[in-house]
Amino acid sequence: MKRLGATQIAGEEGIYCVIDRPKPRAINYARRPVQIAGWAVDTKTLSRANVRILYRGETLEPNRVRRRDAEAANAKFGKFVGLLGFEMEVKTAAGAHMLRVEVQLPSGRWACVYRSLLVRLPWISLPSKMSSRGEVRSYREWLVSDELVARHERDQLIAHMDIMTERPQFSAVILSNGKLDPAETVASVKRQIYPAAGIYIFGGDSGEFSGQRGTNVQTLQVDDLADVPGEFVIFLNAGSVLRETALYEFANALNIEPDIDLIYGDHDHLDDKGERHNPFFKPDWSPDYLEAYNYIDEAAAIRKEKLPVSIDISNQYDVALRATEAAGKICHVSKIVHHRRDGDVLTARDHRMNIEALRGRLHRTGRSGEIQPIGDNAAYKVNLVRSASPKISIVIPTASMSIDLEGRKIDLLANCLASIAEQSTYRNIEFVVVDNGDLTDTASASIQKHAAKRITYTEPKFNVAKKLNLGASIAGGDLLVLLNDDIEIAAPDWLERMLDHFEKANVGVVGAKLLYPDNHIQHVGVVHNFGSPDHVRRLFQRDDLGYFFSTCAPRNYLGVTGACMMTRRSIYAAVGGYTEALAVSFNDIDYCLKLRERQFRCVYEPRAELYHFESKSREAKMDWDEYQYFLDTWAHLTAQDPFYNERGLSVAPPTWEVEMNPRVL
Amino acid sequence: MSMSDQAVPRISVCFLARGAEDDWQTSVQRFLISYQSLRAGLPHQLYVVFKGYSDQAGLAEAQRLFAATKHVAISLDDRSLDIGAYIEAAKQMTGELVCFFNTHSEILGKDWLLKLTRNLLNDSVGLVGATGSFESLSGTIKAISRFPNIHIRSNAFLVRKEHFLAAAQGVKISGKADGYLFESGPASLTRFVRGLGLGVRVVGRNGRGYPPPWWPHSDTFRSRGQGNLLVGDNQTRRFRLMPWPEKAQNVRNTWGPYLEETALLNEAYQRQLL
Repeated sequence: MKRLGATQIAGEEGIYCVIDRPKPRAINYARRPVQIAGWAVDTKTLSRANVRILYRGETLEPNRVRRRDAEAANAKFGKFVGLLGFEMEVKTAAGAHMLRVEVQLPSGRWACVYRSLLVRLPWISLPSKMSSRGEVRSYREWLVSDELVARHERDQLIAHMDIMTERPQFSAVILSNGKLDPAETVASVKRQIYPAAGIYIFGGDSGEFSGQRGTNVQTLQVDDLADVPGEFVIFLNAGSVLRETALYEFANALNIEPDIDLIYGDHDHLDDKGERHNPFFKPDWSPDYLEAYNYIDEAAAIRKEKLPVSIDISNQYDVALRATEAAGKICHVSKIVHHRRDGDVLTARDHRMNIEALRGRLHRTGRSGEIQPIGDNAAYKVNLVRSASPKISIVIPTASMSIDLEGRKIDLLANCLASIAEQSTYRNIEFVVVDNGDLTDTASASIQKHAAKRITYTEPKFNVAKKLNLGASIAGGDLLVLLNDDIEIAAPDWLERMLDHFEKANVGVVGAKLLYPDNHIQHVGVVHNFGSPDHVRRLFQRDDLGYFFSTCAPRNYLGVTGACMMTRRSIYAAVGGYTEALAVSFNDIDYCLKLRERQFRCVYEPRAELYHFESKSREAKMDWDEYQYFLDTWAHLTAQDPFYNERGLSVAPPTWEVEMNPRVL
Repeated sequence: MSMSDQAVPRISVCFLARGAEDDWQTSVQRFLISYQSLRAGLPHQLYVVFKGYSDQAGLAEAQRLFAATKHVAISLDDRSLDIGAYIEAAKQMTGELVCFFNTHSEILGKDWLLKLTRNLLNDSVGLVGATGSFESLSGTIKAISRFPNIHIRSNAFLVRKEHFLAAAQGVKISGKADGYLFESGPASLTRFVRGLGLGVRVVGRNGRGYPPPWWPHSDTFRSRGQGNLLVGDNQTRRFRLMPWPEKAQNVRNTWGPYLEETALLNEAYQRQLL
């Protein structure tokens, strides 16, 4: 049975079938009953084809219904007899169970035309993107219950404080920069249920706050933290408000792991009415994201001994960079711990200080380059000056196919090679093509023209992992780019921008920004929802900034797509390349996770922009055995994605939009 | 009365080194490494129950593992499984407070005994453990209450010896079902303690004692990433490795609708936990 499109199946034996429902997804999140509907015809006998449904060990026969659209679609074969359509309602069971739809061929054999894992979580209604709008709430709606729960919990937190075995001390330093009034900030520190050891105003006068009830407020005259009591210091911008449990949350984290050196939490914003909005649900420790944007921001608890003796504390980006460089353990508390005031406008001075901080970071890490803001935002792009231009081997597995794209016929491999050779500004490259022994003349000519290495994969069964490993085995470059052949360059400096990240220690793999031909996003990173990988922010505009710069700035992820990824050849070899048991799917994310287990980081680089004709060359499909392998192997890492907050951000599909989801784990 | 207002009673800690468990050597070594590397935070006497070894060689090997660790050895037969061994051992243990670890236990946080004890010596608390659950085995054992079936799990718990022995009076453990009943049945240790008007608490690695309504939010047993576990065991390790759909199912079985924070505000739900 050959696939013509997403759900239409055509057979050599004259059998056609269309599945309308459920949707053609690897996983469908199901309500109690699931509707299955479609039609199936035998064009040789001009009658309906037999269909059966398999679910949880049962074989079910669907009801037959008239389908005028099927009659019309197949009219060219003749006048059909009988009811061509089928439909059925299946009561789903809690958990995850495979649903199969099969069509009977004239030979009597049953052929599978549809498979999907139906997942039902019966105690919650599922959000609209999964199946129906239920318990998904807006942030504002969620805040109502969150505040009530917090009040409910308060006495318990205080009781806990009485018996804590670790009693860390925190001092707050409020940076009075003249923009916003520090009064409310001071008050919020004084309101902490876990009292601060000291409160200091830097850059302003503490006089009006001294003598008030509660902790004494002092002025910090110089950047000398030595006199500030406590092991930890927390910097706050004037105008920001600490949640009353913030210091408790930091103390709580230290009672779980006493040797943490830096703790940061999430934050939201206060509008001019004092209403909370625009939450920033931060990722776990993301050093490459920090080099583009100070996502840690203020209100982090920093172990004082990890800060240089004289540091310009007015430059908070510099503080964050230096503190994280020196810190051993860095902990992210996935709770809102402070509220930033709206109206804090980024000034030219802020940009200068941020760029200065990044310049210092580059210098301390043996790098240099040009730093510019991304638009007029507090996110930055770095063009490194590299002393070396290592050879990059671009490994391209190909099936030597052509596609029709907007009226033009394209030989994918030839187009890809030409695009790279003609547009890329990085020149120290070699091409390694892995073919199936069936290259078209155009493809062969292209390989010759670009002096590409060529190796033929001769096994009968498709296996992209083996093909890539084969290509890597003859690659001579220090770095590998694993690349689909259905790719065109969109940014000439794509290789340089990916290569920049390998100037840092412990970067293992870098992914690119992939676009559909219509300039919508196809890939800007992979996150895990319900344990399964998915492209985040798909179908947004090319110039999208993202969620706190998730699209336009580098970001750390658990994985990136193998349609275009750069990695070191030595690392690739050390982990055995791609896992060959994953012939079709999940092999790219599996590779990224293998690296993560070895403490290597995965980075998304937005300025490596390429077009990807996804699935125009080959029908996207998923192998269920491979899916099970992936789930079994990586459950301990992927059940809760450290870089994507499933409670506060949209899921299935993940789009970085704020949505307060019901809890599942 | 808090711990600071009174002398800390004598504490006996019991580890069950059961040779009948699969790969008991790995389990015993895992516990020993954790016990030796993470300070307890309070003085105590360690008891090790050796039972269930198929031969003398196995028993000798287990005893050798503990040779460098000060302990009192108790030898028991394997007829009465875990709970039965606890009951027999408790009769020999001299502390006023008794703490039990099963063979699969692994201590995960320092000052573990201090954290457990501080919560137990709270005036209104009678039983603390590293993990608790609402899961009901009523589908398998009819006598067990339906969901939510609040109970402290028996992998790691601390209780006053008098309460433990009183709860165990007349209990005969001859099979797994008896063990489940003592852990989560109508005459469980948890129910006995609550029947005295005392509370039960799950104690996290952070040292906080969580009353039952907060167990689903404690990041301990089958809660998020279990990052606040004070003591792990084979079930917590198994959960960590479960594929997501299985994890979700297990979380549902354990916490049901109490998983949502809003359940804390729902009076009807909270009444069910009383």
